[in-house]
Amino acid sequence: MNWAVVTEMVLIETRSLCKTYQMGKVVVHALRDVSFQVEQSEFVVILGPSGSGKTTLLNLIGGMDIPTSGKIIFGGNEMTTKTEELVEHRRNNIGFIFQFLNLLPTLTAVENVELALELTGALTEDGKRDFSKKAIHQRALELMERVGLGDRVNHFPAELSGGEQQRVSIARALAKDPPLIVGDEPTGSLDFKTGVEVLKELLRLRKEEGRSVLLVTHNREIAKIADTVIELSDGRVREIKEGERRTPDELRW
Amino acid sequence: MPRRSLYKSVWRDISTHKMQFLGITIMIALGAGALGTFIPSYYNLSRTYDTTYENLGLADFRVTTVLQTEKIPVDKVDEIMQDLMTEYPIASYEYRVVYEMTALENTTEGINLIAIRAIGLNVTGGRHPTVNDLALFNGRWFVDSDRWNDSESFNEYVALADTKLATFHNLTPNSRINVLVEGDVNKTTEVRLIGDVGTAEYLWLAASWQDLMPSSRRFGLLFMPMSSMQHMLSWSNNEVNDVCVLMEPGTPISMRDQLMNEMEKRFASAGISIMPAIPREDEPSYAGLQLDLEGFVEMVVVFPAFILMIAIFSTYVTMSRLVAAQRQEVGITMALGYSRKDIYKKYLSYGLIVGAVGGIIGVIIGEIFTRWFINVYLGMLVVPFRYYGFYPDIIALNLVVSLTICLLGCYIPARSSAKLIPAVAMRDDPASVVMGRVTLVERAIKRITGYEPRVRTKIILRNLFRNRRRTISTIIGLMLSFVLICSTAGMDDSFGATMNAITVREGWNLQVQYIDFKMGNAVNEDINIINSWPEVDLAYRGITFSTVLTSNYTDSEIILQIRVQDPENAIHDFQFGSTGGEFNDTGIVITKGTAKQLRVGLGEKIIIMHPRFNITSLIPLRYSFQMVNSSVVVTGISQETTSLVCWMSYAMAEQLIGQGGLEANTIYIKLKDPSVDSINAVKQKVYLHIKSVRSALSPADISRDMGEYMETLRLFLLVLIGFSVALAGSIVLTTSIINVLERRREVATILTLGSSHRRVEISFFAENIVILVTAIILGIPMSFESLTEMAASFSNDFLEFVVAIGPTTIWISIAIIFVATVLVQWFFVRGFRRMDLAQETKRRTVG
Ligand SMILES: Nc1ncnc2c1ncn2[C@@H]1O[C@H](COP(=O)(O)OP(=O)(O)OP(=O)(O)O)[C@@H](O)[C@H]1O
Ligand SMILES: [Mg+2]
Repeated sequence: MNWAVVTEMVLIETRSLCKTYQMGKVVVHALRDVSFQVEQSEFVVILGPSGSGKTTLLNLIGGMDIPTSGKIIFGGNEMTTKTEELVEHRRNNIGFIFQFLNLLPTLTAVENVELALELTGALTEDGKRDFSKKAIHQRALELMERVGLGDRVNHFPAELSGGEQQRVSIARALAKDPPLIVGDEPTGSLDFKTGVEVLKELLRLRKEEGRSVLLVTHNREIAKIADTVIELSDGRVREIKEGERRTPDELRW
Repeated sequence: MPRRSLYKSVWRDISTHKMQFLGITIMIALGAGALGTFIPSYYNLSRTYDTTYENLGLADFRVTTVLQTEKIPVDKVDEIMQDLMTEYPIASYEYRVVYEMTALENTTEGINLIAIRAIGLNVTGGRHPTVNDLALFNGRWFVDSDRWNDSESFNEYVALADTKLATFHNLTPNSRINVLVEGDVNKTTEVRLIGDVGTAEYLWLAASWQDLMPSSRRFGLLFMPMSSMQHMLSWSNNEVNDVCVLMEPGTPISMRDQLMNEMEKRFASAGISIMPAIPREDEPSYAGLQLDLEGFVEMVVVFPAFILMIAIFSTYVTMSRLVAAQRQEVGITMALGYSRKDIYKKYLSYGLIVGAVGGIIGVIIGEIFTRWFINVYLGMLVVPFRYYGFYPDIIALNLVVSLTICLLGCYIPARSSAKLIPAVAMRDDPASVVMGRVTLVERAIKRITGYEPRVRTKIILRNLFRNRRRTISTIIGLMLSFVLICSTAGMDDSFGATMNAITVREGWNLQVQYIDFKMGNAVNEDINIINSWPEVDLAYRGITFSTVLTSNYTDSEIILQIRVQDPENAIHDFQFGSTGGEFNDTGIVITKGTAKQLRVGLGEKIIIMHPRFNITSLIPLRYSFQMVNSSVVVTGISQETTSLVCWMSYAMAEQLIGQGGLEANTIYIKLKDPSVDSINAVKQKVYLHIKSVRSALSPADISRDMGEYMETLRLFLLVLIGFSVALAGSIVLTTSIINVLERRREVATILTLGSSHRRVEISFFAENIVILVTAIILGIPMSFESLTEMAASFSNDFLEFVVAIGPTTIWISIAIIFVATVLVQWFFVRGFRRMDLAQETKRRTVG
């Protein structure tokens, strides 16, 4: 399903989402009865202390994992629980920025971005997808430029700093032009200035391109830029409130 | 959809993990190489023999007299054969004079006798025999002036030697040999060599069924013009004793057998006494080579299978560990939206590359080794015609096997990673995911010693048990390497032990064989002479001749050597074991191998073929021999490694052969002091004072002779050990590297915690020792097991291989594995010193 044909206002809806992990005899309830909605071009921040289930929630929405019970409605359709069918979802709907860096160590920065682009093709001016090698490379370079790494394209991940790696990972998430960008602490390992740049980029995506952003953080300051803030605690939704919609420049941390 | 980046990462991965991939490639190449060496070698050998047989017209059967002194008149042969040729598809026939004599050789240790089979051929006008032809290696072929001609003023005996004899004794054209036609060292006849030749008839140089593997040191062939031979023996031009017959190609065996019967009948009715016709497959040389080849077939299957299995196993294990370690990358790739199929394709391409490269290298190794092996092997046998074939089917099989293994080794772990949901795949590092726990060993140590091990020790123990799969696969890898080296090197020990076992039960120190049977009182005179020598403790007579044993319980036939001895003298150490049994005058003693093949037990009867002696006239003495079958009771089954012999008493033999029959063809001598010097001294005396002696051999001589024949097997073994060591090396290499690399992160963390490099290295070393010791403890019984398997494939109807691994072999194998493992690990563990800690710990963030 392509985001362009999504006409509903609501992009994601979770209904009584539960996820448990069986650890020997102990059952860990990572998520219990989580329900909320994310609208199109909404910027949602998920707040919560460590271990509250934030990554678990993103994994479910991102099609990286399957809920124990409950449903996720994405773009009006219920998400499948068949692992093989989730590939399409991950490929077309999601740009994932992981909590931990995860670039393929044997590919250069730009090649890591191309890896994602080769799946969906480069989006052209007229909204078409171009799979040519040239277009893909061009688009990858553009994305690298956009995250401020135009001069680091041919570096291998091991030759980049943690922040630079995180930015490559953002460029890779943007590469597919997905309707939803999912970020698990994308600014966690970045310095303030770069962090602000990343947030600005994410806000621009929402404003100019109409994408939704789902951002996990335990930094309350960052939550101030959100449209909506969902607070998780011990696997439950503790509170859903209106965000302050500040600009990143106003933030201090 | 293009997947360029994914494949780019395949190449990059391979170059990042160069050493592991190299190791795997070598392993699979060796497996394929083994397959590609031994099977084509077998084909080439077998076709080479056939080519030689065909090109030189190996006789389909041969008719010969019972005693070499008996004669067949040429005109009668021609008459019978011309007649038979109208009825049977006979391509050609040749009559010959075949005569056993000896040659005198002066060595630094005194005189030596070489048993010579002199063969007189019809070479009139420089012709070649049409049956059992020769291939000239050096010198020249016969010309008419080489033939003995009564009208010429100067006459000399000229001959061609078999190439093995010539090579062994450094005989070149114009070398002279002194032959003893009458078996008397004081009456020698000079023969001048004009060259040397290869034969099809003696491709495997066997003297007889009694003497299947003589060394060229003491047995050889001389080919002479027939007229010279006849002159040398004072025979007339009309007298021969051997007829070789070659059938038209494609003649059925039944037709040949019919012809053999017919010939026997016609010869008999013409009053010519002959032995039953000897078909090709009953000739010791032909049969010996076939047995050698049969043994080879089994080896050809067993060894490559052994090496291939180990190669397959190790390739699979290392490959899958390598791919399994990439699980997080699989997770990331899937998170981006790549499908399982894409993942499979990526990892299958690893397998494709490694399998193809390894397979191709293996094919090349196979080609090279086959050529080398065949050359050396055939060089040893002195084969005039060589055949090299190209075997695309083996190459295809090789590539298919290599590819399949590598593809499976990649596919299975890739599938198990890709089957996971990405969230799990990304989180888990299979190398470190297993939970820590208190090990059994730890608890045992505490319980037994009441002492709590230090954390340092605990880390080692827990590491070993933490990832049991890794530990087990490492142990198995090292164990297999050990087994490979130990069991192939143990083959050599087994050869020695087998040689030893053949003669160890003999109580005599010298076995004197006559050229032919000695009649009448001559043997007793010889025994008296020998007994008068101060070194001699006891000398007694014996008969050895080859016979055929059959039984009513199977269709098997065994051709073996029967030893007729007097039970009261016989000093053979029979091993009757728990079944009991006895060597006495009422029956025959066989070995367990023979009993098994003929399915007979103690007290049951076997059927023996033997000559029957008839005196047709006393004055003048005229006698004849007939081959007949008799039933004899098995009075003992001796537990020995050879099925080549059986024993019977003189009384029993006389009952079978007839009164006044054969006196003896062997004398056994037991010395007071069986030292080498004493043996040599008596040997010299035998040569000088006893007439018509063919050879005088000590048990050591016999072992050495067989050892020389075993050189061909040794060569095979050498190739095998080469493969084994190389394979063991690559297993050790890849296993060690993977072990070290899988631990990089962990080591990096330990180092950042402030542990010294030294401590990390010691801890690694200690772990290795535990793993190595376990592998070796398991490897020793495994080596015996696999050696037993291998020995079974070497064993044939004649010989059962004794399985033995000497302590030296075990220690050397231990040392090789130990040093290799420690060296490789040391090399890579040293790499930790150069490790960029920052970078390594940064890598931890994946997942
Ligand atoms: N694979 C797993 N097996 C067992 N328990 C798990 C697994 N993954 C997560 N958990 C547990 O589920 C709970 C939620 O984990 P999750 O990773 O979602 O937390 P988080 O909110 O992302 O925390 P952090 O801010 O530290 O990243 C935790 O208690 C964690 O221990
Ligand atoms: Mg998290």
